[in-house]
Amino acid sequence: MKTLLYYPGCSIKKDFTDIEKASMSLLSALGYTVIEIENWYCCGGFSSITLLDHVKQVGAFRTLSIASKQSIKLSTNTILTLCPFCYNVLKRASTLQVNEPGVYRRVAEYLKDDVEPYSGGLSIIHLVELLVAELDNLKKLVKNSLKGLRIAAYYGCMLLRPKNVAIDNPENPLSIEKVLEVLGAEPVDFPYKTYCCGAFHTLGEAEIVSYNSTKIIKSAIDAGATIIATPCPLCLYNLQRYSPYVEAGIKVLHLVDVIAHAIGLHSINKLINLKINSK
Amino acid sequence: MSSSHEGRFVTIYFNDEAFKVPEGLTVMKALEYAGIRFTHGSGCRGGFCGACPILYRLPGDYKFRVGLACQTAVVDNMRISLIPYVPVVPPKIKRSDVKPSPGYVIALFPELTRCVSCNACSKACPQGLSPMDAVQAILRGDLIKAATLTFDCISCGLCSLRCPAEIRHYLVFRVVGRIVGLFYTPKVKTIEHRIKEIKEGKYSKALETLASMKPDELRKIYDSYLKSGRLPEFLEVK
Repeated sequence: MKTLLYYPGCSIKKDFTDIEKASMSLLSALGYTVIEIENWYCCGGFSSITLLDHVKQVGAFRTLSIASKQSIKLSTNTILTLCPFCYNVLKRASTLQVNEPGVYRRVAEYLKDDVEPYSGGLSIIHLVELLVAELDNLKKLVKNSLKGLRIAAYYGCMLLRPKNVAIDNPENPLSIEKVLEVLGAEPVDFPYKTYCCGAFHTLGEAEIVSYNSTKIIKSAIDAGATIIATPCPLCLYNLQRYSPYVEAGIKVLHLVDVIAHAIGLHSINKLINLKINSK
Repeated sequence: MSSSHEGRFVTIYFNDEAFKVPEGLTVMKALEYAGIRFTHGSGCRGGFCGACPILYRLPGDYKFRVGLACQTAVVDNMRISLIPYVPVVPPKIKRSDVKPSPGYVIALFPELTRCVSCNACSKACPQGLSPMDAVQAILRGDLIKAATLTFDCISCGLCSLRCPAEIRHYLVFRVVGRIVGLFYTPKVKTIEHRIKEIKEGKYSKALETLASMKPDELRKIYDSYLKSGRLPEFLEVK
């Protein structure tokens, strides 16, 4: 049994509980024991990435401190994330001490009332990285081969940028394609697989999201895909919501849903009209 | 000072003015001793109503400390400010719109998403709660956890005063508590039974008779109840 500490993140807990459930079943089938970090905080998401405001990094840093303590008890040093945003933020926070010692000192000084400053040692991984390392075992789990399905892997930004936290080649990633191949599907290459969907502009300037998402989906259709699979909850939301092409027939699914279908956890037939339970 | 005060005295600063007060008093008693009259910022005097929060600092320490004036003992050279009220504007809520979902709460209080988990709120809580954990629980959709964590909130507002995200904590917690009460807490069967009886008019006659009585008649009933422990027949609804 391999033990992983798990950081769910707010989106997964609030709006994507099905994805969490399926991911946990998948991990347990792969032989992993997954333990949620006993006390975790919002990673800070978008603002901690884009703003030069150290207080925004406090949540991620606090979480790492708590996880670090718990990791010693559980004899594991790996924190698993399902959400690319959480992955990106935690990964960058975990390298703060090395990459930005000045910022590290300030954040640690502020936090020392509450927690012992995080001083390294944890490895932050995203589910896609884990799956790429487990391709052989994943293959053994496949019950319904996705043979004949032409699936476009859409990565979004957060798993690939900036370069020093990328899980794969940021220009031409192939991790998800490898997973899809193992499931029996036919991965479709398309030029917009790392193009930004518009992310949090969905809140204020939806036109940007509509423009970008439409471009991405149109490109996937032109490449001959019938399904787009993405590991990111926000990309999923944006692509599903803002492109008229989704109405026209192409399905945008969470990568975990596609895998769940292939290994017999749940069927994606029901998910064609997948709605996000946001309210 | 008269000889009745044999104990020692300490100096406290209230709004930057020094007062000599006996050691061992609470801040509230000490300020009253010093001649300050509480027209606001005082309530139950038992540490429960949340009307008398104070902020103070001690010599040689940069830390902001918080407490309730009726519960905090004076310390020599402490500097005190009373915070009787922290302004919050409550949102208008229609019962029919209330949903047991984090989305609903966040729509009412959008500032919740600005939480950076700095923990200033928890440090400011005189009840020793963790408003930060409650806010974070709401953000991830766990309203029950948020309501449980804040059950002992006394609505003093100190957390909201210290919050860099300007969250209206105690209003948020009140709304969340009520949502949880409405949608998740098990209903008490005996109350349903009693409400049914009231609706069917079982107690109407007794109540009407009582309401029509004059004060001296009521006094008679009360006095005889104190003596005999029994109510007049018309009030004994079986």
